[in-house]
Amino acid sequence: MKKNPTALAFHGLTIRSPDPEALAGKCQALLGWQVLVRGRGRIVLGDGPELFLEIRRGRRGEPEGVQQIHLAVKHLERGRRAASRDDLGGDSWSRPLTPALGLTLRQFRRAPSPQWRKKRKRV
Amino acid sequence: MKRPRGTRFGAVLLDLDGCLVDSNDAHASAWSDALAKFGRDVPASGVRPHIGKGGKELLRDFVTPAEHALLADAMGAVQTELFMARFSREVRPFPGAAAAVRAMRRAGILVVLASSAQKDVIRRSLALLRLDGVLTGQTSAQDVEKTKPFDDIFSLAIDRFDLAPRRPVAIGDTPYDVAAAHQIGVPCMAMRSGGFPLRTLRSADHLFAGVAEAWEKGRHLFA
Repeated sequence: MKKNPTALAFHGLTIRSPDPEALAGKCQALLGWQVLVRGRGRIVLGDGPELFLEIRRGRRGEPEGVQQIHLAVKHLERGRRAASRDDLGGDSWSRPLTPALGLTLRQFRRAPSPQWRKKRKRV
Repeated sequence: MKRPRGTRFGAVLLDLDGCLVDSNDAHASAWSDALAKFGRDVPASGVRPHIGKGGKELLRDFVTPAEHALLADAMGAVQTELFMARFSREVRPFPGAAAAVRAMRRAGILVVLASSAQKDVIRRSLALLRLDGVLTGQTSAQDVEKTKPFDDIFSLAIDRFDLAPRRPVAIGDTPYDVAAAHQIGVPCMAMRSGGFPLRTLRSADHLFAGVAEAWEKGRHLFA
């Protein structure tokens, strides 16, 4: 029987938008999420690598839409694809589902890079 | 599990941290540092009362359920890495504890290390204590789904090494050891060497300063 990585949860979305700042502002107002990462044409909102919304500037004329789905998994090695370390503290690999939509599978294995660490109160 | 009352203990479910090695503070510091790497500001003193639980159970008090589901393994791995880095600097054997374990074995008592620690930590601790080959066996966090304060570690040890007919006793240093043992009707000797306040260990069946004293003053309790 073919084995696949075990899905745990969808934990992030990458959305392309012609105006990331405006969309991020609306999301912040609705969700109360803070900015985790801000770069050129890219804003990441959320609590940390375990739950985030990344907004990227789309190419001219591209409509707003989901660009990448991030799925947290266990047993990533069962996917038999070469995984690479990422800033979120995971090993991950991605593949396109359609020309405009990709899927990233990620297994968290270590601490995230400093930019992904949001200070939180004790629960 | 029904056991005859009044008979002596012929097997020991032995905890590691806080019983054989003085490591609870180092574990707390490593957890504090590990949580900081994930953005959580928890002082070691805040973690300290939770030491003795397995890592996943401990984390439930400090992260949300969603964070726990996705990040607990990574947090545990970071904690183990940080603890191992501290090990040679901060972890010491308790005087007389390993000698007491050897004496138990010489007396024919089966001693199973029933720890919620990770395998790497157990391996290194046993090397420090020079207890390789002395123990009947061992269990670790990797062997069970739920760690202390659940009874899984003790239950597995009893089943795996067929200890039930020998009337096993748990030796631990935390209220989580006591709770885990009592869930399955196993008596528990609490060691104060782990630094837990006396009031948290009151439900234990016997109380000693440490493993060496348990063997010396509690010898009559063993077969």
